[in-house]
Amino acid sequence: MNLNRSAGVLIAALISASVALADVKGVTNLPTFTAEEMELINRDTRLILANKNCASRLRQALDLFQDLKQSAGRTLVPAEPVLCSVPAEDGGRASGEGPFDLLQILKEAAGQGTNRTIGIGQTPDR
Amino acid sequence: MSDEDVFADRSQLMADLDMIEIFRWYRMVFSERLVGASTSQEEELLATLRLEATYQLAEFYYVLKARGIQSEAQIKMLAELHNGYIADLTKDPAKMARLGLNKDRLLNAMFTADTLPRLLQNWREKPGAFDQSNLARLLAVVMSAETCRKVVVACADVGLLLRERTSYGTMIILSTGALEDILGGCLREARQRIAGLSH
Repeated sequence: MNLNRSAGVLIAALISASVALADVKGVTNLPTFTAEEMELINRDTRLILANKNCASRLRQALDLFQDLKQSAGRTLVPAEPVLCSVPAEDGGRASGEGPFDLLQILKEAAGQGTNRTIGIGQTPDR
Repeated sequence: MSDEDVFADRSQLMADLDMIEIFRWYRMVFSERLVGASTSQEEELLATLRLEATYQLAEFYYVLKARGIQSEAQIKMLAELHNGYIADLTKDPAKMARLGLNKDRLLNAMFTADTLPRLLQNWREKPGAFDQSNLARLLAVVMSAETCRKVVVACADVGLLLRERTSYGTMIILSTGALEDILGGCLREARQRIAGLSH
């Protein structure tokens, strides 16, 4: 088993160890991954799936894996679990601005008014 | 913010409370009616119908119909406005963060020289038809492409949308009109209830 494969297995195991936990519904800050991590993720279908469905858990697993690599023998403190049993419904689009903007774009496309710069609290055009 | 004490006038306050109730009733009854119209009672499908993303999809189809967006020229205009909006959004990191979007996702949501002709061709051949990935592009600011796929599949499975595979391997989505009718009915009733509130 080569290093990348064993890393993928370990990370997948770290994710499955807390399978009941998933991303927080409504969290807006999606985790980021380095180019090296993306290369690792893209080599393993389980990690690709985890990145799509549970990116925060994958981020935590990668951090944990990094700790394991860097400090063998040191007592590890696991990352704080993300408290949620429901997968993120819509990728974290918690703001009300998106739906409002979409309505404005549709209105404009219909030629019935253009006011996408309208702010919250202003009265929409009829 | 107004200096007015919103709790001072009892009758206004009661009307405000009625308003909250109507807002909540509207969303609740929409989901109930959607579930009632479902041809399947499979719990997982019904749970998807109750998602906010399903409401967003229904609202999109309802507004398309209610605003009379029917012609190819209007769809082209919609795509161009959408692209302009997305381009503006990529220059606004604070808003991107509020919407939970990153630049890559936004760039994927733009219509390109490849995808725009397909959007128009689908519409020309079958008015109202969207390629599934193009539908996801138009809804990118309210849901992820994966959520859009999940909601569309559920709606198709319960008879609220038509989902057809083309000879090119793409998925074409057509509304049966049920989503628009259900949302429109709920909206009309909610508006009439609001109009009946005392001031």
